[in-house]
Amino acid sequence: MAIFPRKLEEWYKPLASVDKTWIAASVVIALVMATTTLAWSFADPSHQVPTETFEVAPAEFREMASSFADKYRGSTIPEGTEIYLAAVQWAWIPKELRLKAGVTYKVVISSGDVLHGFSLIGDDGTVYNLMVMPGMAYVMYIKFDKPGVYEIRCNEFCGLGHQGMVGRIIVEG
Amino acid sequence: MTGSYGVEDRFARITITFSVLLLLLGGIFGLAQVINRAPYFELPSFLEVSPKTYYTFLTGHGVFLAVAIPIFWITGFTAYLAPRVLGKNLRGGLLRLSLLMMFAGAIMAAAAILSGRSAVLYTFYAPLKAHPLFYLGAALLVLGSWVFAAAFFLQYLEWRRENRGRGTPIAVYGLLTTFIVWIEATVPLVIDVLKNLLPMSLFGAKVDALEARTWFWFFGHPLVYFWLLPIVTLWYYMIPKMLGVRIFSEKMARVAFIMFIIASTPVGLHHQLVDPGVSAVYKYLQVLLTLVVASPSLLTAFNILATMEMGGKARGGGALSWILKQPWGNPVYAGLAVTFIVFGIGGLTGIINAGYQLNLLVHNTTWIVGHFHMTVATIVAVGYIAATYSLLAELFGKGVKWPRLALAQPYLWLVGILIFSFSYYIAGMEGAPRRMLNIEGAGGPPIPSEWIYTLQLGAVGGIVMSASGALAVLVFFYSLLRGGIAVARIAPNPHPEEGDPYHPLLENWRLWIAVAIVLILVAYIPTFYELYSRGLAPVSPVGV
Ligand code: HEM
Ligand SMILES: [Cu+2]
Ligand SMILES: [Cu+2]
Repeated sequence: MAIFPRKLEEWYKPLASVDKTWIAASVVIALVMATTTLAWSFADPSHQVPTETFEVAPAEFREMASSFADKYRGSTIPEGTEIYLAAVQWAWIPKELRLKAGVTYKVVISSGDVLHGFSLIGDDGTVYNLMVMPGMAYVMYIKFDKPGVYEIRCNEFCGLGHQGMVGRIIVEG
Repeated sequence: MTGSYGVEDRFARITITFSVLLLLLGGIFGLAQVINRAPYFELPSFLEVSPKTYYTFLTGHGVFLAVAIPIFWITGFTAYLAPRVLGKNLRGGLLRLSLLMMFAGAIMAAAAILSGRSAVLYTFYAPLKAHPLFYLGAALLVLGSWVFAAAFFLQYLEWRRENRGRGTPIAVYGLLTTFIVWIEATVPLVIDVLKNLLPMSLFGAKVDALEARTWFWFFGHPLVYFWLLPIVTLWYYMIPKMLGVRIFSEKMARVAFIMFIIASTPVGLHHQLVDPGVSAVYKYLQVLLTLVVASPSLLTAFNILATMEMGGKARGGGALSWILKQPWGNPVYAGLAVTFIVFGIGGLTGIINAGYQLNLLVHNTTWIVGHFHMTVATIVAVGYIAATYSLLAELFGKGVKWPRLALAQPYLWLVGILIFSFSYYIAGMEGAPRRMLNIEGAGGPPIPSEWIYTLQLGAVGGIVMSASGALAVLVFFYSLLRGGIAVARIAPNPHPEEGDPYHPLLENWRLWIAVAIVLILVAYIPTFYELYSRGLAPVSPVGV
């Protein structure tokens, strides 16, 4: 009868050994990749997602970034200054940051309204992408080794002016 | 196994025809996007779009192609196939109700998008807000698909009661997996819509952006498996059938499906690896689970390749010539095989996205666009279409009018997608952002020179893909008008030689669903605990 298999023993046969080998192999591959990505976190702490964050109201953060922008417009930011960078529809506040090469700065990034993306792009091949979340700030420590110009582009859709949202970091010698 | 499936077939004809119409509309948007993204493409003015049109198209492209088509096509395909495999009808009342809800929902959402008042893209991240009909429509569409899922589950349970001790046939096994994953996926979506998005859009209620985003990706990743699983089912079911062999390992196929059920949901945080406010430990936990979901894909790759080898050798192929002995000249086989190859490459790049560090490099760049056109877009535009070719004869009673064009379609896509995706991969590594029209044209600052040729080349690939999509639509509708020949048969063979293997553990759905729920809780309780115990940070909604 068609309903029953020709080989009845096929029903209850445990997994064949080749099946088991495959299952094991694919699990091993997954584990190797998992270990690699974890090990990388320890091996190369310079290229990591920042872990320091805090809550901040969007309107308040926008205020903080605006007064920071007013204070340092056109001038180089001295070592030890805490930098505020706000993403708002549709600009970065401040639009431009002048930093010194070789100095580590503390940079606080958040949004004044909706989700944005922080994408740092340099001629030297630098690409570094983070989400910018309203209500939540990232604290990161940035150091540029060489002078140059870096672009900050928004890379999360944030409304109709999204494509024009570009800022700059100028690194001076 | 003959019966009368008039109600099921009417449902399937409507939803599948509608899917092809959506492919046409969404494909036109895709073409407009890819050429408007390319810097310095001299465009005739009617092809050049404003930012508002661009983001409206992009919303339609994502919602129609990646949400609406899968729902309509998969329910239709299941309504056609499951009754024929199980020899049982689906409940007609539920089918009608589901069709009504899904169409009402789709029309509401489409109106909200096409009127230009909901350009929030298919991820609709709060606090950007769309017209309320957008969320209501989406919710209704999903609830309609739940009604269909209920009809399918009831049919299956009835079959099981009447067939104790029989193994579930692989086609139904795969489709059940598809719908179980769909329920896992959409519960968080419905929660997000009811709790956050509707109140935000209707009353201007404040929302926590991170919380809403977390619910979204709780839905968004298993959505990926909903797209994929019917195609995995077709690989396991149709490839051996067309080659005249059995699946290399029936049991491994089922093991893979079970792994999809348990591991496809608790991984959404891999879309949030660079979000502030989620602990690195929880992110890493889900990266780990993500790599676990790579296993069933690897198992599938082994199993299907081995089946192809067996089939090729049975057709007279040797150690390597089995590759040539595949029925490459059959449009259905070619479509499924092209999907298999392209998905394989796309899947590998997905593993890269999930690397905790590499994500910093590729997040929200065109790399991601390359990735999901090799995966979901290919599944839809080649995989679903391949199955649709064979349904033209069986379901629509027409056959394929131009089998040679139908055959050219997947190969044309293969050429287009390789050009498109690799260009977008490279542009992405150079930092080119996704979701953005030609930055230069819109009056922005000059763009890095590396993006220019890659995005232009991407446009060439995109034009070839669009040509392939146009062929699919043309073959479908012209065949409906004129009729043609049958190219392959999806319905089960009337007298299967052998039954399906029965293994109690592999038939124990309750157990695997329970395991899935436990894993979901393990993966998401810490994240939500972190969010809620810290206190939410609700922000005001903002228009586009
Ligand atoms: C006809 C050929 C197609 C072309 C030329 C095309 C082109 C594109 C382009 C250029 C983008 C990126 C736009 C941007 O980020 O600015 C895009 C996004 C997308 N495409 Fe396609 N596409 C095609 C077919 C498909 C298909 C069949 C699917 C199916 C499921 C699909 C799903 C998506 C999704 C989900 C997005 C992301 C939307 C978003 O970022 O919100 N595409 N497409
Ligand atoms: Cu933006
Ligand atoms: Cu995912």
